[in-house]
Amino acid sequence: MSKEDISRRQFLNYTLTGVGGFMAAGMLMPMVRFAIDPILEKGADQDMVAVTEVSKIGKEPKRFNFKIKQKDGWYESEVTQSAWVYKNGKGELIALSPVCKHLGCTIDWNTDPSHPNQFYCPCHGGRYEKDGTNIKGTPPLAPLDEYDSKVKDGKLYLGKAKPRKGA
Amino acid sequence: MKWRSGDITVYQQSKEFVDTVVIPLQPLSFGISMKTSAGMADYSLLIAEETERQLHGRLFLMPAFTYLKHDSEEALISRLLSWVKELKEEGFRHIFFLTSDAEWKKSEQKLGENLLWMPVIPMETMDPSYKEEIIKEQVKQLFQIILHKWQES
Repeated sequence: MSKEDISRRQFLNYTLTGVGGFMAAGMLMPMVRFAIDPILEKGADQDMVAVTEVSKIGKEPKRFNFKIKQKDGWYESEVTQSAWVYKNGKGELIALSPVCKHLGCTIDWNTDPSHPNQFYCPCHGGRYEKDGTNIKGTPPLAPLDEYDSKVKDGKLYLGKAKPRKGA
Repeated sequence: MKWRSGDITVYQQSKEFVDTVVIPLQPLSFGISMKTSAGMADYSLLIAEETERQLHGRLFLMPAFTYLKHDSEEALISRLLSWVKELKEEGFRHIFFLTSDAEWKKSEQKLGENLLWMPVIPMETMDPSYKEEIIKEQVKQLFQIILHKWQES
């Protein structure tokens, strides 16, 4: 290659385009990053909390407490939540929220002597089947929320409680 | 339910389901007994909030009824009774007072409502998980009293 292959004009063109492009990229990158940020953000419901060991879960619903971080405006606090967890006939783990769908009292398992093996709400007598389905004729109009759950290394992780379709 | 605007919206829509009020009675005093009185406030607030969490849909937790320790008994009672009157007019059927101040025990008859007196447990230096345990146990017993009242009616 001889020296004349690149003219002075060409050389300047290349360098200026290169440097200019670099600067433009430097400016555009953060903007693009801002624009697509919502996609990259990890969803809040991916934060799952280890609740208990799977081996402790039986066929009878059992109450487990766990702590989650809750953000209320600027104020971050730890809130204790609980879940009723059991294994159903197919061996799947079911984790139900203890919050009554009527007005938000805390339900309990098997505490109403006249209706055994049901979830019972002490406030207004709301009742749910073991699978969380609300019983017709009692105040609640929707089944209990179910937690997102997954099992990893023999431990049960719970996420957010999600509403299910009405009965 | 609590005294917050969000809860009030729910309350107004489903008034007929909410028939119980809990009013914490909180004494204020200064000097040497300042710490005791603050301890009482801490404790009864924890109890009240946990009870409210469990019975959210039927129980209304009022802001605390605060008073000075050296207020005269008659003045206090008449002030409290005017709360009761107003609450009854609003349609609440069960009214519970929650306090750690033993003085109220003397005037229980005059109040005519359910006075829940719980001797204060100092929690200041307690381990949080232990604290939680104690509060849970206490609330469980309170629970029984409230449930019993509900079943009676």
